[in-house]
Amino acid sequence: MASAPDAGTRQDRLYVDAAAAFGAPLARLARGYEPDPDRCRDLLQEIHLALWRSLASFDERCSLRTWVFRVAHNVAMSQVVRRRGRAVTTVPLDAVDLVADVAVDRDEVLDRKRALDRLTTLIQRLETFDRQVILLYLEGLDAASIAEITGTTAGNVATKVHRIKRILAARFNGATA
Amino acid sequence: MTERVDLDAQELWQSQGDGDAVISLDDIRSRARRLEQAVSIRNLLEYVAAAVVVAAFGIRMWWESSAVVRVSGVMVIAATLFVTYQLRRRGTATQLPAELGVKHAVDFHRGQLERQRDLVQDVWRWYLLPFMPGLVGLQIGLAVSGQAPVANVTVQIAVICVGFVAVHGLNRRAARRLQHRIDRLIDHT
Repeated sequence: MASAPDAGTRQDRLYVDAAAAFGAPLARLARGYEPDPDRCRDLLQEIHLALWRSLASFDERCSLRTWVFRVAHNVAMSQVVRRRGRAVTTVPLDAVDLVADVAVDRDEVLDRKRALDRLTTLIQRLETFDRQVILLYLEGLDAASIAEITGTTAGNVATKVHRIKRILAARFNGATA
Repeated sequence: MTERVDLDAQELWQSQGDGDAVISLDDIRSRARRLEQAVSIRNLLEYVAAAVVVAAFGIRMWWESSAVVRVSGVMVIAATLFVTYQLRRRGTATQLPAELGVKHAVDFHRGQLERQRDLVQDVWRWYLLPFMPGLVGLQIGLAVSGQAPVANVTVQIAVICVGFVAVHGLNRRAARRLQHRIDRLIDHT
């Protein structure tokens, strides 16, 4: 988290608050976009820098959480666009197979590290918009909040979230020993 | 006996530690300063590169006897100034920090893709084409004034033209791919 004692200006104070409240979600968001640990660290630092710079213009027309997630996703997507030459094949949520990975075994589900790796890989494979929705859903945001950040309709987000829940349930729930 | 095991994906995802999320305000300010310095240096280098090209061609053209070569040299200088202006203009059109928080993620992403598409789609017009008349004219001037063999000049012009067409073709392909991504984004949202 950012250190509080040198938080002089309003911009600094907002950043300290944002980093304290959303530091961990931002770190997870960066992992959802960037598989390489070094690039992930760079992306996270880029997000924090952009967040601090953007907060000079924060006018409270939306919540701090909405602002923080918008900045973070926008910075992460800019990186995806810049890296178009090294494009990774992504798939839309609708194309993710509901059946292929059902045969997850009990040990794998109980091994949280492996399960987390599988979840992260799934996220990184998704198209950018679907990736945003699943990352925000996993952070516990509701459809209306996700819609406010992404700029699509709450109904569209709700449809995506429904699909995400089915995929996650198929992949991580109901494993049997 | 079969035992069912469920996993809460949200709980699993949020159970990840902070990792290296620790960034102090001093670090942030220092990075911001370095970023501003890097942008200033990049801008300065663009101007220095343009100044070198203008000076080199200017001096060369000052002593040149062939009118065709001199006029072509002036055209290259004009193209350099034009492209430098375009680089500056297009470079400053990038997103401002505030827009990162104001723009919805989908709009922002679409804007980024469209900006990149327009950039590669138009690059032949504002970056390559301005140099063509001057560079081709220079070769013709050198041949006409007897400073270079016609065969060599022909090859040089052919290389310039093939390079132009190849770069234009690659950029058009890149623009089509970006358009495809924009269409997919629209379809998905």
